[in-house]
Amino acid sequence: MKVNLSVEIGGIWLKNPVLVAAGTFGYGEEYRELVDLNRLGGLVTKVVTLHPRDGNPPPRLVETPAGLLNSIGMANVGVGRFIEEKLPFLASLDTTVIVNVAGDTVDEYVEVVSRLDGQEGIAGLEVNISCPNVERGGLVFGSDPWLAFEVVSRVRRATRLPFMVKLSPSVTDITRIARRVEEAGADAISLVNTLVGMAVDVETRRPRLARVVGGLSGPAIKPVALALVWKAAQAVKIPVVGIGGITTSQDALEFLIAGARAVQVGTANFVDPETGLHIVEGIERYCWEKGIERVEDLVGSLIIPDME
Amino acid sequence: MKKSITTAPIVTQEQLASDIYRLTLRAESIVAQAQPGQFVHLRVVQGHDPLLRRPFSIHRVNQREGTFQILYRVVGKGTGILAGKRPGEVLNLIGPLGRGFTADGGVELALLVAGGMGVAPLCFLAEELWARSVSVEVFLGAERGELLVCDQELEQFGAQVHSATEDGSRGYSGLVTELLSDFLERHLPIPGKTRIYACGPRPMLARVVQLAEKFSLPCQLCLEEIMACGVGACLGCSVECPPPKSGYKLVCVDGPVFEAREVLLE
Repeated sequence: MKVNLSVEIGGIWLKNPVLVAAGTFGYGEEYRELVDLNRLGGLVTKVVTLHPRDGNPPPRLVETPAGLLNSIGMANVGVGRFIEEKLPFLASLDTTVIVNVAGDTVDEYVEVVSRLDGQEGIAGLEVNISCPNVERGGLVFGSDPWLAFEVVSRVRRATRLPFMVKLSPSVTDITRIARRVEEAGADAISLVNTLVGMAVDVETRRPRLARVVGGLSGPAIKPVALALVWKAAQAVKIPVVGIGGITTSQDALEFLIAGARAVQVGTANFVDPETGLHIVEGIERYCWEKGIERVEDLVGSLIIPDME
Repeated sequence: MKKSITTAPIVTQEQLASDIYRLTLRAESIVAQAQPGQFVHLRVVQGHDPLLRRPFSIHRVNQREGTFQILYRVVGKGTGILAGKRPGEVLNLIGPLGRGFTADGGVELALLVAGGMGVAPLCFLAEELWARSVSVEVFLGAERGELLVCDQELEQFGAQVHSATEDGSRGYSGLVTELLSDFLERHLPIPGKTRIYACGPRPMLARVVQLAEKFSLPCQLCLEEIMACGVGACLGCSVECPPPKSGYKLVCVDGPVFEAREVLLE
């Protein structure tokens, strides 16, 4: 019995349900000598913004128990140089390329997305709405259902590319945001982005990150992410991509069973760059052992007994 | 230079001081390609605690045996676990990584300045320079005598070693940069034929750069920074660049070795 690992995420076809997450795999070339990129289901690029961004001052990283705090500051070369310098290599790959995009204002999202439309090599986009909207006093797009709706609907009108919207976990009700984003025209949602965290150096009494707070990722956040994926998957009809502390195929399977159609591996890539490949093998082995012919059959197959 | 993920068995683990260790690992792929100034990114546990790899400069290589060494001080969880590893155990590492030191054909005199564990990559450099018949003067500084290591090995490479300890327990009493300054004043080395190579705490490096500028000597610095990926993907290990370019460079791929004028230390 050959297991069919392919999945379709809102118009984006993946040879298997494992992608690498934005910000953890650069633009592909950084890992090319270490990992066979063509065996991944997909690669989500480092964020691309309209203008180049230098990023935050160091320190940008703090290790935490089973986790990592980062405040990179969305450093990237900007959409112009991305298209010229980074996209050609990505286009040469035999893996699905998804470009992560972000902006300071709704207009910036629209401009980036327009520039990427029609470019060779891009299968789809991931719209990062976990950044602050500088026109609305720094309110994070993804924390407000109305702002989320506005940015997603404007992006929808600006591109024919399929796109998933990456949701922030720092919200009161993930189902509200997920539904608004679906209504606005997203083809899929991916969650979660990092949690907000910080660390303090008690000898110097200074924060360990230059920007005081940062995003927490890694195994420590997996249970939080899993619960949010489960809730979101019940609230929307569009596919859900699960992200958050996945390091093994068992972790990935938990997300699939809870309702994710695909998963992204992030922080684990720093520990073992081949994590994604091991997870694909593990999912295939699990399906084969259980007589599951298509990995899609696992999606949302969580069994919840009736409560009396 | 090709980097790879490799498992390397531990050949020896030596304790050089109360918290300073030298680990010898067998890894042909690393040894065949390693350049002084490059590093390896080591995984110290199979699990998640601590989570990230730790970067260590390549301290010395032995081409004949196919082994290389790292020199490290126990400063936290990762290095603590590393110090407990025994010969026969195997470590997973990525390497060789980063851009190493360079010395063009015109270099006749190399001044190596090491602060504390900064001596680690400079030993590899000293050995390479000695093999090319470059004169090597090493300025070795530490807080106290028992933390001053590798002076004998360096002398074996034909280097002139000048030691300084902050508490005066060995060698000159004071900062290693004072020894360097003194040497430069007395010898006035020729800029076209002399290079400074430094590795150590940032304040020490800043002082070295000042001296290099004062005496018009080209100077390369080997930096360290907390790293996650080690290959230029996560953008975590940034170092600030001076105007007019400004912005940041990455210690793991643009460095760890930089020309003094490429980076802002303070």
